[in-house]
Amino acid sequence: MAPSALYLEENLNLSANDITKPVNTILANGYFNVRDHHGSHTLIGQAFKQRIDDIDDDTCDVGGEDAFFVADLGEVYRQHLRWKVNLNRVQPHYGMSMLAIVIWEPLTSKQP
Amino acid sequence: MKCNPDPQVLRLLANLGTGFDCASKAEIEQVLAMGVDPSRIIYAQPCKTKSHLRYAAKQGVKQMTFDNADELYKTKELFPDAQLYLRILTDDSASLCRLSLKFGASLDSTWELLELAKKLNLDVVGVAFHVGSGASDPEAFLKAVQDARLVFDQGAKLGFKMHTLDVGGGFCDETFDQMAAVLSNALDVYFPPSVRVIAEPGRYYVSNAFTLACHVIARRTVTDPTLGTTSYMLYLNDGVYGNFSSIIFDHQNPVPRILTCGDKFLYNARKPGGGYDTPNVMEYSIWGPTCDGIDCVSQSCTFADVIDIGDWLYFENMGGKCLACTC
Repeated sequence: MAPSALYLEENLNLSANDITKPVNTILANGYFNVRDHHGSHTLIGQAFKQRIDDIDDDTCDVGGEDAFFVADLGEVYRQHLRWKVNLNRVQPHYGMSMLAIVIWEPLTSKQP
Repeated sequence: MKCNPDPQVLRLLANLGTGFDCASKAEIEQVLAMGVDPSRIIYAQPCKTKSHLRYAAKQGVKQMTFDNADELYKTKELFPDAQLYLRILTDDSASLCRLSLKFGASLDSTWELLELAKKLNLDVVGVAFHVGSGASDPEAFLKAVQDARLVFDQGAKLGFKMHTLDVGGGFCDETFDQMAAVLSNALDVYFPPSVRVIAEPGRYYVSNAFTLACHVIARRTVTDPTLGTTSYMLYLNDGVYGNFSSIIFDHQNPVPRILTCGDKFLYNARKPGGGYDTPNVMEYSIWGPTCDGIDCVSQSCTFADVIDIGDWLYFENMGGKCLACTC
């Protein structure tokens, strides 16, 4: 079975180094642009196109045309910065139950 | 069908330094496997399975919630060193998922519960609440913070040294700024800076981050001879028993958009829910792959394009599932 999600890590628009920097530094560097999804859309579109171009439903294996996600990790990061700016006193504990992605999996498919 | 907490998002959040709110052994296990310290986890499930509680004790995941006397006896037996948060009831009548129907101690029972915890020599370190998933009234946070203050004061009278307030979840993208403003003010008024404050956002982080693509596996053409109209029923390879469970559990209405139509790649090329402004608009209903009549993704939508078998549709903002609503 094909992977159920593609991840846009390049969309994070920052290096591992940046993650450990204080929020103010990152803001100053211009990464904080919560409402600008334009760049994201371009990358998400590319990811979809690439994946779908590779799928031929006349010849693919069982599950080769399964539904899949494109996950924009940059969006998760933008939300984190937004949290820090608006609720700096409150330490977020990510609610795991929210993240449960259900993968529709045919019985015949193999584990990746 | 299986539930799969998303490892990439978790790793990013772990690197960003967030904590984790887990409701089961499997969730705790996944977070610990990333090398996250047990002190960054809160086992926020007031009614725990005994074997899961034993697992938490063994792993040193000490922070956990309770809201009833039986849970205190259970904790005394299995994990007497736990750091307990008393989960209180809130008014969540304005939220989409009313969690207070299931969890939370009413304010007239908190004193007795704290007394019992004292008698059992258990350590209550804080108070937790949850205004409900998809909360729409920011004032709910104000009321809940006020109630939590009362319980902190009760705890102090009984000799507990409470140091943390857990303000739960219920944050969503659209109303976040407003909610954050109300909450920040309430915290400043009712809790000194020495009190640590944590929260359990879920949907807030991921709802807009996930876009789902589905394949059109079948199509039924429906003609109305009287009106002379043609509409289509499209069948996708995903439905309410898969990634559209939010339709059932969370009252969401995902908006279908065309990703590919024949040779055309149409991501972000058409307005969502569009079609009305063009002359040759087609009506569609969209269905999941199972035989269950409830497996409907969209009762009615319109497109200017004629969608056929083999085309792809996409749905934005699909990350905010509230699968178990345990939150």
